[in-house]
Amino acid sequence: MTDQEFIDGIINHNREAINYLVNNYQNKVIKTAYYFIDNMEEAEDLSQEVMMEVVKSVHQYRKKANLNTWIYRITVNRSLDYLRRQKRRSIVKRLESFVRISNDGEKQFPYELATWDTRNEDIEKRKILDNAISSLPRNQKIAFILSKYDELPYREISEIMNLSLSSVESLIFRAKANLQKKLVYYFSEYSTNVK
Amino acid sequence: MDCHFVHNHLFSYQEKTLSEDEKLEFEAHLASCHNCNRIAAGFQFVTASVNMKKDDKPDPFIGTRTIQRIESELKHGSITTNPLFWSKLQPVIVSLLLLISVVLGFSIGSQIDAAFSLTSEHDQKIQMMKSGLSIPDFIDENLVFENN
Repeated sequence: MTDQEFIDGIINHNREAINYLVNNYQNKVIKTAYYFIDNMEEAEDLSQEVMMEVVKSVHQYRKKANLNTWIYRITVNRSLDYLRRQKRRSIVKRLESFVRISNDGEKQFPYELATWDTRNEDIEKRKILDNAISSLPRNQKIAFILSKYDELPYREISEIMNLSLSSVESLIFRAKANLQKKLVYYFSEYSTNVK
Repeated sequence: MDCHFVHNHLFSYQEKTLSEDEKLEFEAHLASCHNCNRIAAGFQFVTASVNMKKDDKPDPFIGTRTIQRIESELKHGSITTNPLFWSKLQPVIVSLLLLISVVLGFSIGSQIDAAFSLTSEHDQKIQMMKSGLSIPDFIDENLVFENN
């Protein structure tokens, strides 16, 4: 199916076009969203939202970029919106728990500390990598995830991010340098803590 | 080669982008430096963690659910793919709303202006009365009316 046939099909509510969209793109969307938000169920929900948005705004799609790039762009934006909402929610939660502790007048240990011993070390390390990635500046994070996890070529990343090829190369280089710095610090600390 | 080089080339070592000489020196340093060895060993989890994440699979029925949801929302009109609305009607509606708000603004403004001019007329009358009766300015005009 060509891009034009697909667009016409979606506008005419053609079942074949909808199947084409879902079968060809939804798994990619889920994976990319998952790499950003690190929660499979949420990534699946988010992929449905992306599919709906593609259907809703397919007439706005200009052929400047290819369909794949356009869908990736929507996915990245939706994932970053999700992360922003999550961050806001966690701030509110922290404030709520702070107020609760103050009202109760007793100090409670955070859940994470209480369950420390039961944690699997691999999961813990994975969480450290995820935290290190999410602490990267926005563009470095996008470029790194699309390159390392989605394994997209630099040219496609530059199209998705609407940046030049050299900017993407520089972003990925800086992302890796920052991650190295953070992880070296962690492992040095970690190795001394374990001793 | 020093620890600094190792710390800055962990990705390059893992991605096998170091030259053969650099790779040999890198490994020689790891053999002689306990801390760098630990760091490099710990860093291996980056690749493992990326691969672990890549292997995670979504729900196999998500596609069917999505198709059903899209079809149902299209059927009930919750989403529209009609380009006429978005590309043509939306700007017209926005312009009309803007025009209505400008007209409303003008009409409210002129009403306020009329009310204000009435007030100033009232002030002028009081001023005339004050000057005619030679009432000082600090006397409340309400008292003047009551006395009259």
